[in-house]
Amino acid sequence: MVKMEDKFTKNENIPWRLIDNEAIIVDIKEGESIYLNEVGAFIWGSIDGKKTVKEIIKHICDNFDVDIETAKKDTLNFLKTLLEKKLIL
Amino acid sequence: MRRKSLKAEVAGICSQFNLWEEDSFYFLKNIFKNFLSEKKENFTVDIKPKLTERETGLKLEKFNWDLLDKIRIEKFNTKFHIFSPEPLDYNLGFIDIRKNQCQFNSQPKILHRYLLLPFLRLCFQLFLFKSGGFFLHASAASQQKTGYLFVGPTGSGKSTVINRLSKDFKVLADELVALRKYNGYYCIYSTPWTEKRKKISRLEKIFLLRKAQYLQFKKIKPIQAAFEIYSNILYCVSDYSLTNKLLNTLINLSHKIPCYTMYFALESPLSQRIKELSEN
Repeated sequence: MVKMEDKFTKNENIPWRLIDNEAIIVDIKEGESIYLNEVGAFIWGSIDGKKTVKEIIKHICDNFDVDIETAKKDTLNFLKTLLEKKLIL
Repeated sequence: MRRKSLKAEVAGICSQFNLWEEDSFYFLKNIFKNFLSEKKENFTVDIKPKLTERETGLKLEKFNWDLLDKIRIEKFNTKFHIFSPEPLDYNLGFIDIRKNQCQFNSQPKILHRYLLLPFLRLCFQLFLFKSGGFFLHASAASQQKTGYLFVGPTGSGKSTVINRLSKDFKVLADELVALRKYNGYYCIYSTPWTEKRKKISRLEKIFLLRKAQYLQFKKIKPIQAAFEIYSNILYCVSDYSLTNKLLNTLINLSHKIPCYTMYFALESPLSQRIKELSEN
């Protein structure tokens, strides 16, 4: 369960690259790569152990043409997937 | 028999195989006959003698032969230890990419040849990773030393495309291709696991295959190309530094070499359109 006040850090054993505002992450345990579009890469880049989920959602609304409810729903789902795959801690 | 050695080269990576059995020596010499090399080796593989079935207690009637491709890899310290699939779970040997040494352990006679070639392919794969290259599920064709790579999983049409191009292009490989930067250029190589002849070509374009009802080439962004190519690489190991190196290779490659999604139908005029793309 991801809460609005949670702060996450990237798993430092996960190789990733950010290129032209998009990203590729490699889940080395599963041997699969994950492609992140501009919003996904923005969220990934915002995960720094300092920003709360609430702050990340606000940043998304400030930078992309999206309403707060959609941003909240998509961000929570995305973070939940990253947590399940242990790509963030 | 005292030790006999032979050297084989795949994608510019040379390995010395050390053997203690005559039949295994000639078996490998035949498999690698067009890939033999005189270069200084990048790594050695000690191939230990076979065991009899009695020595291992192996009950072959219970063994599922389909599992032979599903080799398990575990890293302890600097060595990758390779295990055969369950239920056998033999320690097949190790690959030490720091010391450039590998060992294929003694295996039951009946399994030896089935396991030896996948093991050697894995050795080359890891040393290719180390040198900034990789094996790819792909077919490849060339024309006047210029190479084209057709990437996709089983059933994506790699062989179909290559067959269609074979009148106008030289076929480099049908199923498995090695890719590596050499002298500043990305090159594609045939491999002894699927091809009889050693061939090399300078890579010009990459095509990701999609079956469709029409023919269309859609250029894709480098990061998408890197993502798609990654999923068709053989033996991605759970190792941070090798994967990091692989990512660097993929990102550089996808920025240097134009990559297209190729939608195609069986009757598509492939040769003509690929030639036109090359001229533009």
